[in-house]
Amino acid sequence: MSADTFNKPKLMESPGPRLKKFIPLKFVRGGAHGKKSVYAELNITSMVDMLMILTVFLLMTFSASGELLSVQKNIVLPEAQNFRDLEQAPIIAISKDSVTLNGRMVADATVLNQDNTADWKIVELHDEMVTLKNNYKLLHPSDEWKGMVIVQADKGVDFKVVKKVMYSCAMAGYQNVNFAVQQKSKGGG
Amino acid sequence: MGGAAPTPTGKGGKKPLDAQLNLVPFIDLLSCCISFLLITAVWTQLARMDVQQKGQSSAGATDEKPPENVVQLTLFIDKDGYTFAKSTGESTPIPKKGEEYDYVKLADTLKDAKTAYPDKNDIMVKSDDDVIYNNIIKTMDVVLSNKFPDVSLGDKGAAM
Repeated sequence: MSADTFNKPKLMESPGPRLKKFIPLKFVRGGAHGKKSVYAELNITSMVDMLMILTVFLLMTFSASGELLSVQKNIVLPEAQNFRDLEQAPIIAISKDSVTLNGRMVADATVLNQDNTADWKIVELHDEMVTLKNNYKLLHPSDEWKGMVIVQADKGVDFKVVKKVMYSCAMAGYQNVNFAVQQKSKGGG
Repeated sequence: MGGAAPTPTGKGGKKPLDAQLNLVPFIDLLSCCISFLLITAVWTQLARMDVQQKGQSSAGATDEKPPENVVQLTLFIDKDGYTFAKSTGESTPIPKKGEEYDYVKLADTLKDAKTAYPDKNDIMVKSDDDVIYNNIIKTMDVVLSNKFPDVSLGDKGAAM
């Protein structure tokens, strides 16, 4: 082999000291120290702490019943300090414009507000609720009929509309009317 | 959990007592928990307020009349304020305080009623048609706060 073979630059070679040897400081040249480990370890204690706090917070706010009620965009619920947990029941939503049963419009709230007749019954709502009741009794023959309904009304509607809805529910056999409210802590104003 | 001391090998020489826990599976578990809890989290805190219906005829309602000697408490709401009435004939008007209903005075009146009739749990709230729903809920909240758990809601025009 000729001498040119050894001097020929290789494609890959281990990096050697470059600039350090030109710096006229002894400790920079590093001749006296041994090899440092290239194995770096991350300190994950703080990360575990953060994950623990996050888990505890989420567990405290966890609701086993899930989201039983979703508020419509045009409804602002009133706040209350005395409340009970939600249960599965038909939902009647009353906004300033409409009355819906499980998301399906059954009456116009404006018309109900202007109507001064003695008959408070909302026919379509009543009929739909009777159907729901019959279906429930057919599907759950062994269960006791609770007659529960959740009324989710906007806080700005008149009692007149709420009264008509309650009356229609009672006529359909739903005696147990519940008003959906937003939870308000007892300490807060 | 916790670090275990290394077992002596018997070959002599001191071994370090420091033991390191492998936290990687623990972090995996916490990550899974956080993901699950975040997905199933319910951010809107909604609840229900139980109301009984009285003064309205209904298909399933029973026509039981209350006993004569029991005092009935009724709270009327209209656009001018409250009127707290007893079946004995006494009535206390609680007018509005400016634009707002006087919830403080209502609470005081209900406290007095509870002191007078400690076994009484039911109260009838009767509202006018043009009362805003929010005011009814606030009123019922005050009533429930003053230890009257059986609140009935009815129309002011309906018979007692």
